[in-house]
Amino acid sequence: MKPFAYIRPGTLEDAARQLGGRGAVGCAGGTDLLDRMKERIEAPRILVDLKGALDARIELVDGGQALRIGAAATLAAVAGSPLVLKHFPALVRAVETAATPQIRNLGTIGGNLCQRPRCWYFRARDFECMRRGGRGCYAQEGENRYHAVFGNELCAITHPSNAAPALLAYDATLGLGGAGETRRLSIHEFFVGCDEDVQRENILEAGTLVTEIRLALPAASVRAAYAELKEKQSNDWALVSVAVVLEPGDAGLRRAAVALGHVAPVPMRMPEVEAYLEHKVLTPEVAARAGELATAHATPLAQNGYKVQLIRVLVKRALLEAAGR
Amino acid sequence: MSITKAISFTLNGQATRIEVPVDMDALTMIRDVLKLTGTKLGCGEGECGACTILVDGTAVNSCLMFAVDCDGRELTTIEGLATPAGRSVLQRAFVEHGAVQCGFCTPGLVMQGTYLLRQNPGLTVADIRRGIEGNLCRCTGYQKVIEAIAAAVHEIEKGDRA
Ligand SMILES: Cc1cc2nc3c(=O)[nH]c(=O)nc-3n(C[C@H](O)[C@H](O)[C@H](O)COP(=O)(O)OP(=O)(O)OC[C@H]3O[C@@H](n4cnc5c(N)ncnc54)[C@H](O)[C@@H]3O)c2cc1C
Ligand code: SF4
Ligand code: FES
Ligand code: FES
Repeated sequence: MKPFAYIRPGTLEDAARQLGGRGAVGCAGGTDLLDRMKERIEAPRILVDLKGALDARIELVDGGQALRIGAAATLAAVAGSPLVLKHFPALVRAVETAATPQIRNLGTIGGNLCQRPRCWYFRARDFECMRRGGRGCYAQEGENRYHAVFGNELCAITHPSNAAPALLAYDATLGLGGAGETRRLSIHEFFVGCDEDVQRENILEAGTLVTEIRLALPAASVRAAYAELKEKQSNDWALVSVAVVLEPGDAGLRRAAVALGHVAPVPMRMPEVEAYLEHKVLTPEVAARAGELATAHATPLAQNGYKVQLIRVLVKRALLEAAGR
Repeated sequence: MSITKAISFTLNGQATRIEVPVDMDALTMIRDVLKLTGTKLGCGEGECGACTILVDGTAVNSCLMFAVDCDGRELTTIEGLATPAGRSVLQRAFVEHGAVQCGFCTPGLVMQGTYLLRQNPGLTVADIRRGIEGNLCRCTGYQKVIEAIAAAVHEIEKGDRA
């Protein structure tokens, strides 16, 4: 079924109402949605252009205590923002390495968080797997070298967003609006694992949109880093990504946030690693041990065991980079 | 049948009004409806950059953009770069530096290169390399392309316009 309508509502309320219609799908930059339509795994009846309902501002709010990024801000705008660079360098690093310059000029940060998985079975019309409402997971016994090494028992997608692990490490808050009440939600409660619901990647119900991302400005002493490895070093998806945020204390670290991307159906914070790092002085040995701990619960599939080693190396690398060593 | 929507925009300086199916991408509109075939279809999914055009001065993949999204905007395709005075500085540099072999990637690379030069006329070679990450070329090995864009930087320093 081809779409039969295109609507560009001017307000959030109107967008929410339109998105309540049967077969209505929202579109920001369209880079993910149009691709799925071309693969014929998505066939909206109503295209709702979200750009009139969302804003793209990047600004300090709350009396200069927090940074607000409108959901329609492009990845290029986020990557090029001096404000974001000054306070959240790991987020800049994460988005400036996502996709290509042209895609970053179109794709929005809201769309980046809400994009659908890149599992090649999911994207191929002929494979009706459980995430598409069919049965089984083709990746379990199939071609799974880019798939998840954690939480992969049912479905083994990796969450594709570069921005997600960085925002997770910075404890971002999302503004939600549209249908239902306008509210704030910690990013830690946004993503949905397979055990909860294998057909969705986040908690959004039809008509609810991410309107903004808010980040509390960290103390000047806080250090952060984002590291990733790709098969090709340009124009490619990350195989593993790591974002870390370190808060130094008098003796060793007061607090460490460690987040992994591209290794599980959801971007993950690593509480055991973080607990281990507390009060430690970040030596290369400590960083290496943190990398070991990060992989403790990995359950790699037949072809993606190499990701476990990449996690070890990247956690260590990101920690040492953030610590300036 | 999918329905159509009337949109209007400026294409290479000319006011344009057309009806497009709402699920059509901008690339198909440009090539098949408007018959400007300089912009190429390579992958159709954002990987190769052959379809790069400028929208309000910003380089984007026209294959990943809905045609309806062009409404009210200013589009430039490869056909819009030359002026009555002749080819653009980057077009000349591509020819002079042998940056064109089969030529399939060339319109996309010239559009992306033009965008990079207009954003930052003082582009370094490192900026050029990163800037053309989204453009695949199977022939040149990129070196000649990088040299051509770098040469254009030089010409612009001497007073040419991108
Ligand atoms: C070749 C290629 C390479 C890529 N490489 C990377 C990469 O390395 N790293 C990476 O992170 N990404 C990568 N991407 C993905 C790209 O970053 C996303 O497609 C883009 O960020 C999506 O933004 P958009 O505005 O175009 O989303 P759209 O396509 O407009 O929307 C995507 C989905 O999210 C929904 N949506 C959009 N905005 C909102 C909102 N505010 N609230 C609720 N729902 C919303 C839409 O309904 C739709 O279902 C790549 C894409 C391509 C094509
Ligand atoms: S990994 Fe998930 S999306 Fe991919 S085939 Fe398995 S169930 Fe489908
Ligand atoms: S045709 Fe658009 S990027 Fe390849
Ligand atoms: S010249 Fe042939 S693809 Fe680039």
